[in-house]
Amino acid sequence: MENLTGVVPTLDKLATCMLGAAMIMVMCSRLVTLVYVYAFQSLLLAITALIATFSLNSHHLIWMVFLIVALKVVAIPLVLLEITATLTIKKEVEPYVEPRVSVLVASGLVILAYYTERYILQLHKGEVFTHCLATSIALILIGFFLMISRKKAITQMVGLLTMENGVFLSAMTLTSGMPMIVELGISFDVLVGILIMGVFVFRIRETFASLDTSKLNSLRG
Amino acid sequence: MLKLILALPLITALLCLFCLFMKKGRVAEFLNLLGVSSCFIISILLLSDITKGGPKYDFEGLIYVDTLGGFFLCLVLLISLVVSIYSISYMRQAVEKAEIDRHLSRYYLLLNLFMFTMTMVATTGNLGVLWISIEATTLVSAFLVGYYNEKTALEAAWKYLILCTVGITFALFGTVLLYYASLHIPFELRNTLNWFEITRFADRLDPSLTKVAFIFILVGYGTKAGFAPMHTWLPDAHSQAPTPVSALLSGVLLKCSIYGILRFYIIASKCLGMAYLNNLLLIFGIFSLVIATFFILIQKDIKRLLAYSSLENVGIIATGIGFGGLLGVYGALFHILNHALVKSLMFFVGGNLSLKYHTKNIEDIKGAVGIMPITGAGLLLGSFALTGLPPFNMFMSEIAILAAGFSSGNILASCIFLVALVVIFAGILRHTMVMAFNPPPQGLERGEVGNWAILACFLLLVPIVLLGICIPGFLDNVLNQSVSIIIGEKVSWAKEGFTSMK
Repeated sequence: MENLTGVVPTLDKLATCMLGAAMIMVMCSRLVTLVYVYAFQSLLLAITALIATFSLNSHHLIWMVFLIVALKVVAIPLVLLEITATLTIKKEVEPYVEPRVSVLVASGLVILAYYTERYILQLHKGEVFTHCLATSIALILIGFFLMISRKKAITQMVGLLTMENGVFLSAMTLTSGMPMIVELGISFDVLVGILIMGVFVFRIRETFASLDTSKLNSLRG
Repeated sequence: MLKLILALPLITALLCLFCLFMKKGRVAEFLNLLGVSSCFIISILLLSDITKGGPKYDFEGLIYVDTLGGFFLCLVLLISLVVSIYSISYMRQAVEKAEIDRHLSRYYLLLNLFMFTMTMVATTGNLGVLWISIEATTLVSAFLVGYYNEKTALEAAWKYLILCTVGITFALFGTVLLYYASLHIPFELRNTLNWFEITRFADRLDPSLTKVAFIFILVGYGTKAGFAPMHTWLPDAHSQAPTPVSALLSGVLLKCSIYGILRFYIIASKCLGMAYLNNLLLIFGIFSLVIATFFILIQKDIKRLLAYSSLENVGIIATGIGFGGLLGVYGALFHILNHALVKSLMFFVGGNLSLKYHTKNIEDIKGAVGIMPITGAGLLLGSFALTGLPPFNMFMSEIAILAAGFSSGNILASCIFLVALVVIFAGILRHTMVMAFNPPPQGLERGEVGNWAILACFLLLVPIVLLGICIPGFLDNVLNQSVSIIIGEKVSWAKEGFTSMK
């Protein structure tokens, strides 16, 4: 664990960049930009995994690096871009919460995340990844907020993926990766989940002639 | 046997895929029935082995079945079996009436994959794999929910997919936190995330971490289990899915998530004590019950009515575990079985009616007893059982939970529980009496939907009535062992307590 201290600041900076990317997601309304920012965030996650692989001596994480690059940096953004390309309106129109207000809310969520980490979780003494944990809680919360405050199906998917990035970040730093088989299964589920959502997005677009989920409102009560 | 029970649904699914290419729907029907019934028989044998000889495991604990898991496994396969029988009638009719333009084999393929994922939930010994399986149930069943490919079905499937995936992401974070907590136990433990190993050392987990982890798990899996206020996907998905699938969703899928919560409950209770966890479960349980009560009263759609009744029963189960004690947990587990039986019956009956009347609107379904005598009788008996009238099975479990509530000193919660049950009793019976006895509309032919559907209803009615009169020794033994797994002590007087109460 001696070589850890040198690495922690780097990991912290990477985590902060991921948080920054999430803030940009909250601000931007062009769907294509959203997808690119997500891909960038996943790339940061992959670099985190790469550094963690060598510094934490958890060599099975190297597979995670490949998986993250293949799935989250390349495959899933491509699927999302494919879906966006078929749309006529490529912007988030009239979200439930305005971008400027959203940024305020997201900042509040970051504070909440740090509060949770500091005063509720109270990690073990000598734990060096407190910052990464707080960041991942913030990512989960912001992703969740993105999902409930926007109407487009694509934005909701990106919100979900951001939440997952948050969970992956904490899994990789705090626990230096879950057991191999579990990691593989989770990645597989994430990929299949996004593909299935993609299938449904196409079906919804065919049937409703739009990807505006606020039009999915006939089932009530 | 362990490997066989997991392999069989997969093999059947592959064969169904083959049938899909060959366009032989009837063959898929037969294969499905064969596969499920053999799985069910194996699961019963497995459970009786486990009750005598202790837990069975394989693949370094990736597969691990104890009595509690075996109980859920048998439940999953029992309901899958009756659903498979019912599906034969229902899907043939639906195809004939051109409600569905897709091939039958596709349905059976998805059904088998769905059963496989639920079998995984009940048989795994690893918390990570548990998460993977529960997420996989969502992914497969989303296709079944959106099977009709109509606007409303797509809407329901999308909501289901998104809400449950978000919920389950919270649960994943909870799992990560618990894994982190388990890493700090020094160390016979091999960092495996196997719950049976973590449980042994659970008292050494960090309490504050475990607490937060459990809350994330409860909210996450609770979304999938349908706890209010995360339940909004539930009525939509249940009402839009094909009826046999609704029965599976309500009967066992919700219970699979409750199983997930129970596994974490067992670990967390060793570290935090019961009281804190029970209060959390009680809050969710009572809240679900109250929300369900309101919506049951105003419901106009028969399948949505049944869906809200599922919400009610999930609430009852959570309340039962929350009341705690031998009687409460015993009642909750027994209620899990009872609700699965009764709700499947009600969905089958509702499916028969909506096929006959071409509507799901309660006001348009009239005179069911005259038009479809057997389904009508099933509707009456099923709704008596569902509302907790004696001498049906749900009366037994509800009275056990209520007794646990009063004896554990949760007077306020018990009173709310009681009032909600009475209101729901009135609400559901009002709806079903209209459907059963009002004068039927003109020009509707007498007759049932199909022989397989009637067979499925009978298969369910028998245990519903029998379990209300007595609990067979085997089941009692299984439930007692499961209770002692959950509350972590040897149980001997649950049986006597239960019988003396009768």
